[in-house]
Amino acid sequence: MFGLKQDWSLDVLPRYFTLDDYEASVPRWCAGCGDHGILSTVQRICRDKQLLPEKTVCVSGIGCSSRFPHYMSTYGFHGLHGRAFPVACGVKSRRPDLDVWVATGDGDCCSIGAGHWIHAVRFNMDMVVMLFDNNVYALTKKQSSPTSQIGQSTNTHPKGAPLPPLNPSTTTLSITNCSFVAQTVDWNPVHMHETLLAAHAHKGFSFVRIFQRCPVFSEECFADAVEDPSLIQLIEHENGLQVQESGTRLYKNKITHDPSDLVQAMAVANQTEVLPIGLLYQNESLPIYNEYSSVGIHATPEDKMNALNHQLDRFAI
Amino acid sequence: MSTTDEVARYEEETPLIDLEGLHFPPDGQLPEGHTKHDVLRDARRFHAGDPSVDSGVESDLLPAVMHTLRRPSLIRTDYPLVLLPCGKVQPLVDFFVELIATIDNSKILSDNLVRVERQVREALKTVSDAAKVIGSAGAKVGDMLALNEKADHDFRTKGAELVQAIPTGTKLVPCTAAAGPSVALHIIEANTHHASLRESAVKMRDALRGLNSQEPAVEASGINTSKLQEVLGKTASGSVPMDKPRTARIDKAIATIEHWLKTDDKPMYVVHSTSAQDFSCPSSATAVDGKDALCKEAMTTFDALAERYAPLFGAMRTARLELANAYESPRHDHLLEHFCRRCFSDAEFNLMPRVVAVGTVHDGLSDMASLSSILRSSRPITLLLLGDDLATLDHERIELAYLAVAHRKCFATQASISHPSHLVDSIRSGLDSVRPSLHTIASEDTHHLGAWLEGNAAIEGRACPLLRYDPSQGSTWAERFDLVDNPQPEHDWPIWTGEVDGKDLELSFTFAHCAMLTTNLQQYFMQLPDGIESNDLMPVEEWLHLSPEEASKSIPYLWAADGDGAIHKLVVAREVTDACRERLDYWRTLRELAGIANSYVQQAVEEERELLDSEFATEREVIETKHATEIASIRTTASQVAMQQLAEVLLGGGGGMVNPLASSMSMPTAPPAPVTNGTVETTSEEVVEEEEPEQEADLGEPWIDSPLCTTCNDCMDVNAQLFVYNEDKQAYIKDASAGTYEEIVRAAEACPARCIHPGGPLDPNEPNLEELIKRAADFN
Repeated sequence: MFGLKQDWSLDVLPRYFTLDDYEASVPRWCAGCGDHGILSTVQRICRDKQLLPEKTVCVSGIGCSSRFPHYMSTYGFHGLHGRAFPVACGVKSRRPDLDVWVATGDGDCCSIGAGHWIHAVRFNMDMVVMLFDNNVYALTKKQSSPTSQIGQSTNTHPKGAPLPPLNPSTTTLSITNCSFVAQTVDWNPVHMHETLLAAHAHKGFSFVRIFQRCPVFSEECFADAVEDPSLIQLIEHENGLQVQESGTRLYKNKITHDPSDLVQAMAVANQTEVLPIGLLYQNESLPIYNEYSSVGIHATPEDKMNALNHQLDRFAI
Repeated sequence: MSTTDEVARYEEETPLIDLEGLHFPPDGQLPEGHTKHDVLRDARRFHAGDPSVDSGVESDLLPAVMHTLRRPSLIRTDYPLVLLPCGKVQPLVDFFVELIATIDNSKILSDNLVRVERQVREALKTVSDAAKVIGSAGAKVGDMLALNEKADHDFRTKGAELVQAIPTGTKLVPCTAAAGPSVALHIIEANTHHASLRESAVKMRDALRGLNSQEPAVEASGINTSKLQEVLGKTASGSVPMDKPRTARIDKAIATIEHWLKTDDKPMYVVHSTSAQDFSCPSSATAVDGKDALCKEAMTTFDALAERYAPLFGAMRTARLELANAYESPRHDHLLEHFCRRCFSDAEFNLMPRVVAVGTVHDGLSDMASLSSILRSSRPITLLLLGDDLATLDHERIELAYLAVAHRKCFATQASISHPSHLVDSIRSGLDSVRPSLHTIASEDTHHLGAWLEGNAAIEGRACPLLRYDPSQGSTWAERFDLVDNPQPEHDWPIWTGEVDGKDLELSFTFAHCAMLTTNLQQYFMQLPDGIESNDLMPVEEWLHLSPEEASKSIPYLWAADGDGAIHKLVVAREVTDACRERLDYWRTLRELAGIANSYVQQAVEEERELLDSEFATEREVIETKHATEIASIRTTASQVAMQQLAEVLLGGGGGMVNPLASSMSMPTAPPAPVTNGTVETTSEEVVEEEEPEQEADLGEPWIDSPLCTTCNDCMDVNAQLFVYNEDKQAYIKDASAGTYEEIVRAAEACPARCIHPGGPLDPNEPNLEELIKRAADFN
């Protein structure tokens, strides 16, 4: 209508951000670490979406993964161990206009931060959460984490971890008001890009578990899956991720899963013999807490005083 | 394009504008001392034309559906148009897409072309050289972005490559009233065949000279026939001298062609009126002052040219006949001696210089006799008449294109600068049809929204519908006439639906909405206090359907939005609603001609429906009667059987109660539903790996499948000169000679993504090559 083209808006900012604009200091992760790939993927998404650096916040706890904010030229908060979620929720709560990315690890999120994790999922605030899952505490040099595999030798369990690992995805799926859970691997940047892109586009708490290699302290954890793509199970669905062929061609083991099916999502995520990657669950109709917590954020002190007086006047005799 | 296609096309486009950003304002105050009844009384008087009622319309009001278009600089249109030397016309954005494909593109350039496009639009005021304007706009964008040194260098270098790729002579046209003639003349200029005429004439002359022994020139074929005749002897057996009349004909034809070759005609004659203000005549055209009689002057110019070209075309026809030895005096003498315009073929008309008249619709109306003469004739003159009174309330308005259609044999269009693709197609089709063509081109630029939006509003509001009539397409109206590119042609007025403050709203865009954009017509609208509701108030599009009696009891209004998106009701004065009726009448006429909502078809459909309804009713009646009879029969039988069984039971006989109807009335049982288990459905495919025969390794050059790179730095640690990151921060081999084959193989082994493919060694003298090639095999 009115002769308009589909891409009719020329409303563009007089600014343009290159990849360099999202890069801060040189990452100090080990060579071959999967974290490099996650970082560059997030930076590419920021550039492709032209996210304003001053409107983007990266929040983390403690661990190798949690060095993430240092390497992003955006606002950042390198928090306390396990406390990435309270900080991120606090930011989003009063600044819903900011793009919040949370970098956390299997130790940071699933152990000391587990209490915050549960409530952050339930709050369903609009943010992207990247769980760098390398099955080990790497920053402190090889202690068992909640996701360490049975028999995985660590400094805390030299003869092998005795307990079955906690599954962060099924745990997240079981929490009330969970709205987005996906899994990907750090050694497939094409799939990871599409996963994080979908997580960013989702309105709500987007939890992405990234199977991440640590070439120094848990080298054996994903080595088989890297070598043998049949150990990866690709989740496909018309409402799921639409990944380019270059990111899927290696994977012959495929499963069709409707991401609106929570029960099936649990079953898919619960598999132990394969690493399922793709969108497990998405529900965009759930309440988002920052939409409630941010009401009245533009009220001036005068407005607040007037409102307070108005309320108090109701009780005046 | 069929009507169905047209409808489908617009249904796809409809969602482009939504009602987002609109809201109902809080209820307003009534004027002091006024009741709601007083306000409605004033509204009724205003509609009736009482000059004492103040309209009170705010200046920033726009039709509600145009609210999202309030900032025209942020809207991508077809303009600027790019005129390529080859005659192609395309929007700048499409031009960029094609152009960037010709250079080694970079992301930073393609991402920022939208900014360059916007800069070009803001800077461009007149028809200008494309390379210059785009180059300058690119430089400004570079300054504006203040990129880091590397990115800035990349952007400017690639930008320079892009500018260099623009063909010399490419022009940019902004959306102004001059756009119509500029685009049309550009297409016509590229479709002149004058150069090929000169080439043909030279060839023909040379061939005739060869034929005629008077001129001992070397023929094009390289054989000198005259010399050959001398060698063979004039009395050689079998040689017959050419007869004198034929020699004379050939001499005359050669002389005529040579005479024309000495003339210096331009390929186009542009007759223009003084009222065509912003128009500039192309350098390749001869400008002719149309004075006060544009059409007459165009006709005179054409006839003079035809008179000059008739001898040439006659001579060329003679030449062709003579060269084919097919000239027959009794048959051809008379025709070729009296060869004139009426004898021209389509090809000959096309070889003549094009005659184009550029003026305004008023020029056409003031010289109707000559205009009609042209349209009735076979002269392929192109008339470009600009119209600038799109939203006039003039009830005696003459639709010139519609009038031209009545001449039946000419090509006619009603176009607009706001729909350049329709205009371009029309000009091209007009040239192809080789007949007089009239193009009325709507263009008005009085509103601050600009000519493009104003022109589109005129199309949406049916003030200036697009039409095309091409008799060369066939003999039926369906073939000749179309309304392609009009919005929602199946409706009287285009309709938008959406939600405002949770309330569903359906908004039409009528001629009244279009008239709102015309400054001197704003006096015909009166703003009502916000929140006023009454059964007497009715949307203008519904009001137009009322009978005169019903209409007199109601007040028509439309929704208009202010700068904040608050929507208000505006009462529409009778002068505007009368014009709406007049436009609707014209639009409905056009639709009937185009086969959309044709009244004959509707009548036939109605009759057929009534017939079918009647047949169905009769059939239903028969079935119902039969059914009632069957039910009555079953009831009687069932009661008799029941009574009989009851009697048997009471008398102590018989066993259990058996329903004799059970067998006939048993319900069919559905097959058991397939049992589905809730287990995970897997489609795990078995990997069938075929044994591939070992092949001779074609190692080639080393390369990296960059999209798979995980940015882990492993390869950089091996050799940072050899492996570098691209603009996606993913590795590629910048210079394979910057390192050894051993380093490439080592990096491939270290790469966790296994995306480095070492290929073969560049240096055949490198040590341990055999072993390295073996190690590399796993990665190639």
